Amino acid sequence: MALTKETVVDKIEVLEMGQVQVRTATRVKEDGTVLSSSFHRHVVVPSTKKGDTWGDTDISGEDARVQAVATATWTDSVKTAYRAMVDANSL
Amino acid sequence: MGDSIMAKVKIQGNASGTGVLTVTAPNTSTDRTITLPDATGTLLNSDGDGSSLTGVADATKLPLAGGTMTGDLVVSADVDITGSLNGTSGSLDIKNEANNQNVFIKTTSAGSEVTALKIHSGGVLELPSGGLRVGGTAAANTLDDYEEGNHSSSWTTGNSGSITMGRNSMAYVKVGKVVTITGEFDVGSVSSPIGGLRVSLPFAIASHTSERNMSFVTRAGMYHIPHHEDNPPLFIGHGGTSIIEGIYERDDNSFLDYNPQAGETIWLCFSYFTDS
Repeated sequence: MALTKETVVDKIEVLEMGQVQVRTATRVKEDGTVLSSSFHRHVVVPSTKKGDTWGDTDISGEDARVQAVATATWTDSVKTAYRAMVDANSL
Repeated sequence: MGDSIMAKVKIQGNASGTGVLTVTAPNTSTDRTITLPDATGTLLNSDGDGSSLTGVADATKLPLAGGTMTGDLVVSADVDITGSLNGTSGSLDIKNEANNQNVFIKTTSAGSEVTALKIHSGGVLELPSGGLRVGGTAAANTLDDYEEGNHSSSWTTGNSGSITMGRNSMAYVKVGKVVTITGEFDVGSVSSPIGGLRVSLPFAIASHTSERNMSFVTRAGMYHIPHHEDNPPLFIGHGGTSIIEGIYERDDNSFLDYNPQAGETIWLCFSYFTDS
């Protein structure tokens, strides 16, 4: 009867404007059978604004697969479109 | 043989031979019957001219078409049905009598078997994909997701400076496209904040589908509540982003940035729409 705990990124969703939604699952298992699981969520966006200046989002702390998806998704045109959308919606 | 009673009659070919044993009807226009010697039942009847023989109906056997089965049907392999499974009297029960086993309803999509519905032995009803369509046939009538979890919110300024949080965990429940979050947040320290407060969310706010129809604003409960022109701070969310911003309303003026101060405690609970 071995209890184990694992944390994995189990869902990566790419939205239309390039936002990457990440779900991390924490699972407690007994002999390989899941006894309980819980989810943690966060969002990574194609570009980040500080003041009036846009810059690339720091994804160095993200899971390797999230980094791969983000890097493949966030082309210059995606970043530009995301920035334009946010600026258009701001006050 | 006459009517004498025989103990046994046995017709048997040689197991290694290729010969065929033939029973030939006698030259008569009357029906012919092969009767078991001990009269336990009639096996076959001729049908007119005797060129062929048909089985005699047995009330204890189900015919190929029609008939009513009065006992359980036990099948050790698949049952392939080209018609419907109909209940014609009382309830139609589909049950798994094996202990702790599930019930599956599956379909085939693009040649592959797909689980459309799974009913767990504990009673959980699982729709692995697709969702629940209620009140119509459009995607807008489909409830396709439920999830509950947690988000470690990040609290930052819009420009420069830093915010260090104590409690920053918010719970969320997502039902379809509606996300509800709740939580209590403690501001530990704040250093030279420039630009309004930004608080991250667990899901991106939906992009607008008409004008600015996904925008929202909510008011937080606060301990040591700050004011500007008698107005407490508000939190505003814009379509397509994944944050809420802290703002003050001002008398006959544009919004003013709000940044928290050390020692403040902020309670948030609100719902918003997401695209996924």
